Amino acid sequence: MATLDPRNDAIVIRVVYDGAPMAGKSTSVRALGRGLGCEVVTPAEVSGRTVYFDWLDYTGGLFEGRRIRCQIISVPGQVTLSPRRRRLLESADVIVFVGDSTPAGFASDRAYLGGMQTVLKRVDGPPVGVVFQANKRDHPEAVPIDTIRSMLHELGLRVGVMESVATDSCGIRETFVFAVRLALDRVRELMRTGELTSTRPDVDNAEELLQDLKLREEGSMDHALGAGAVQTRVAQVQSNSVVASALAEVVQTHIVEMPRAASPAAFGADEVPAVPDDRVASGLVWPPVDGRLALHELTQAHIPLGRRADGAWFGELPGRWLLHSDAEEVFDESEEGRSVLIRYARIQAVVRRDKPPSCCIVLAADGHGRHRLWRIERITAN
Amino acid sequence: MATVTESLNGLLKADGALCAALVDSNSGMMLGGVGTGLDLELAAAGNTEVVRSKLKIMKSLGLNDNIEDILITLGKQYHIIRPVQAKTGIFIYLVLDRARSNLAMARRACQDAEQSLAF
Repeated sequence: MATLDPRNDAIVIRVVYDGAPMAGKSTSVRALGRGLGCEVVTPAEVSGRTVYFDWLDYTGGLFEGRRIRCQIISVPGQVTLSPRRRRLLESADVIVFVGDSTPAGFASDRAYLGGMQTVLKRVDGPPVGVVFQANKRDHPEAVPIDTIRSMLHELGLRVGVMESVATDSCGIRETFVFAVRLALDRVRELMRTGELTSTRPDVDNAEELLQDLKLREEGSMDHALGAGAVQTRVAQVQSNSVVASALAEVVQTHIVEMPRAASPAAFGADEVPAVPDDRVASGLVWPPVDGRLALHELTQAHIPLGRRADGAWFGELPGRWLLHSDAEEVFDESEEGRSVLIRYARIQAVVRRDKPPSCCIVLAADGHGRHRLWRIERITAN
Repeated sequence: MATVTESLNGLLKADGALCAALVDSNSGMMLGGVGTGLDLELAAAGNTEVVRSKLKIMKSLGLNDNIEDILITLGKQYHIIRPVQAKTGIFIYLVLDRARSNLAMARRACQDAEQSLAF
């Protein structure tokens, strides 16, 4: 991924912070940002957990007389976001693996290291260097460094181990500088073999990286959801199994936990949300085809909305569609709502595997700067 | 053993000390920096070229020896560059006000800082 940017004659490298969930990746990047005096950009976050990435852009140092521009990125650690993590790892020139030194966290490190190794085997060019940042060294039961080294040795990883306490910014900068060294070794090799290209980076800022990830994901996500999300673990549940019945019960009783972005009391009486229409963006409608048909019909009709005592909104296109949205199903950020939409759609896909979906789920702008999740059910004869 | 910040803060206690940094000569990036008086990041990056040039010349001359420190005397400042023997590719960089500093004491302070570093 390293390039020589002709616009400013700078070497551009990408440093990716990897690790299990809650190991301290985002904390490390933010501590590094504070130390370097640079701003960290996080496009989306849910309950303090990174959804896409954290982005830090820092230019400093000198390599062969050229400035070094570091694109510093932390990956989302959640298992459900593995494809996104994989794409970011594949773009790295060096990886800082943030290990959780607590006994419980250490158990996850091995699995995530294995996943990282699998991804790196497919990366072309000179080997991508790895630094193991043993975080949370202030924990009273922190795993000894020798134990960590033994684990790395068992995995066949000959990497440097740096200690850190990310919450105190201890060891963060040292780890980063060491990682840059390894990335520059890779650049040196790319230069030697003539593979270092002189071009603007494919991704030049956080916004471009976000768009790049979305473009790669949206098409595949719509397809996966439309096909019953068969690539997910939830989709492996058999439709006539006990688990599927349990999921159906959950769906029918709306026990699925929705993040509470705002209480109904936060809305003024006159803040009637906009009815979803065919301007809803791609990737925010499930199932893609039936959902679009429903939105097309709703667009051509005027549907007055009513509000129940519990704050839920409802509407009806007579003989065709019922609309429903619970009071709390509103989100400040579309990404947060999209995560909920995808989760709900997967459950629906499993529950009704052999049958057409009974309702569509849509995330639409509410006309007041927020996004609201709607269920649109077809009215049947019975 | 002292952390990077502790060692650098100790250096600032030397008479006339203005700023100090611990620098990675492979990348020119600072592992830590304290004090004011000049653009420490730029100075740190630039001084890696000084160290690199000196090492290159020594190799060309066939000098099988180590650099203990490099002293650069300006009109108003002293700049001391001291490679850390225990950590290849790392050096201490100290800037002093010439009028208020004692060069011998400053070099000694750098030596003490080098020996106390732990990272």
